[in-house]
Parts: sequence; C-alpha cells; structure tokens
Amino acid sequence: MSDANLLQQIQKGDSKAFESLYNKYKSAVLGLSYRILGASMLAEENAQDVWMKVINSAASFSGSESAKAWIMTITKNHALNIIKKRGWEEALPENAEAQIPDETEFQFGELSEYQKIENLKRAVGQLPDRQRVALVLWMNEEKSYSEIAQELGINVNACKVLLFRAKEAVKRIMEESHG
Amino acid sequence: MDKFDEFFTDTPSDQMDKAIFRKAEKALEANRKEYRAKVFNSIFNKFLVPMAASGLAVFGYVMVRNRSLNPGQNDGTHEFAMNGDLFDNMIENIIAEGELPADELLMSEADLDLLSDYDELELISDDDIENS
Repeated sequence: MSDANLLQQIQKGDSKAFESLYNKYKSAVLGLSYRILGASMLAEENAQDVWMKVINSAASFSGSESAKAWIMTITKNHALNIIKKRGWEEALPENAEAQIPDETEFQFGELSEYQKIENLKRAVGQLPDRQRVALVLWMNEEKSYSEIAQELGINVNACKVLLFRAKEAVKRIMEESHG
Repeated sequence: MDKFDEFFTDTPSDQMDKAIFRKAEKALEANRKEYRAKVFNSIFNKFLVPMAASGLAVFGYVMVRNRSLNPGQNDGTHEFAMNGDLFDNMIENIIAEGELPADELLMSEADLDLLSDYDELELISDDDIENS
C-alpha cells in the first residue's frame, strides 16, 4: 500500500495503516526532531506531537508532495515552533557584517569523513539553538542562506555568521572527541 | 543507509513506541467516529431527498385518487360533508329510537308562514323568486 493510501486509511481510523506509516518514518521523524531541538526530552515530545498531527491532519494531505516530505515538514515546523515559543537560547551575533568570514562554504563531506556519526550527532546537539537550527536546515534541506535566514527570522549576514560558527564549533567538538 | 541519512535518523525506544501507539489509538478512534458520522451523513443525504420526493408523490397520488373517487368530499368541503353525514346519521338514529316522530320533521303551517315572512323582510328579492 502506498503512503498516500496509508494516510487515507489513517483518516478513517485504521490502526494497522498508522503502524505501517509510523514504522516507516519513525526514525526520520525522531532524528530530525533531535537534530533541530538537540538531545532533549523536547525532541521526543516533538516526535509524539508530530505523529498525532499526522493522524489529525491526514485529510489535509493533498498528495502534491511525497508523504515523507509532508511528514518531515510537519516535524521541522513543529520543532521550530517549540524553539520560538521557548525562546532562542542565544542572542544573535552582534555586528554581524564585520564578522562574516571569507570562507563560508562548508560541505557535508567535511563532516562525513568522520566515521562515527553518533559523535557528529552529539556535536550538533551541543550547539546553541540558532547555530544548530541553521546548520540542520542547511544540511537537511539544502536551503540557501536567505531561505534559512527567513526561517529563523534573521538577516542573511547573521545567518552566514551562524552557519560559520556552527561548522567551526562542530569541527572543534569532533576533534576534541577524537583526541 | 548512507551517512547523511544516518545522521538524520534516531530509532525510538520501545517505551516511546508504546507511548505513541497509546496516544495514537485515541486519535484514531476519533477519526473512526468522524468517518462513521461522515458515511452516515452521506448515506442519509443521498437517500433523504429521493425518499421525501417519493413520499410526496405517493401522498399526492392518494389525494388525487381519493378526490376522483369521492367528488365533493375532498375539495375543500370535506369537513362540511362529514358534518352532513353525522347530522343525517343523528336524525336517523333519533327516528329509529322513536324520540322524534317522523311526521314532526315535516314543516308545519307555522313554519311555512314564517318562511313567507322572509318576503316582507326583503331577504329574498323578487328576481330571486322569479328565477327560482
């Protein structure tokens, strides 16, 4: 049964259909929740809320995008709302334009050279809110600086600084953990 | 699964799975109720109009048929006709029970005189009398 059919069945209250869809994407939902919110109870709460939202909003799935993309968008938006409600843990970089580094390119490949993904997850989880969210959105959705800036409600230069700092911090944490 | 996917996935614990399924079951039950109500309403709406239309058609047919079989009874004088029947029955019963002699139902001389007085009262015009 396709994901769209599973969502149709969930709309009718089919428990088996929910179980199938849940088992298919539960790791992705929890993973993105952890990456955006950090390793906290909030991430698990976010994942739970996302699945309830999937059940309650199954009727609104239009089918214009894949079910996975639809679920991941719910996950991302819900996680960002949690952070916005709670308030960002760090202030925006001051005098952002003066701090923009020349080298802002950062490839995921740089990180993937590290074999231990768990260490990388932990490193990203240790980042302050804005750095972590900027990095995760950039990595997960391959968004442009302006799109990420828009999501975070900041200007493009501040976004570039956040990303640069995030990458530097992750490298530092990873190097430290590798001794 | 490549490293990128691996980075963005975390497997929930059994405890978390159970907690989600527990919550999900309640939400699914609400969906089931809503769906049942939707199905019922759609069936009801689908058949209500034809049922009402057929009901009206049958009612109309019975009324027309009844009127054609019993002219005068159902053309707006139904109540009068019924009262007339009742009156006739009542008189027949009275006669049958001997409470009122049949002769007394005929007009007496006094009644006829009283009728002639209507001319004087001009309740009946000359034209009416001539036409009658």
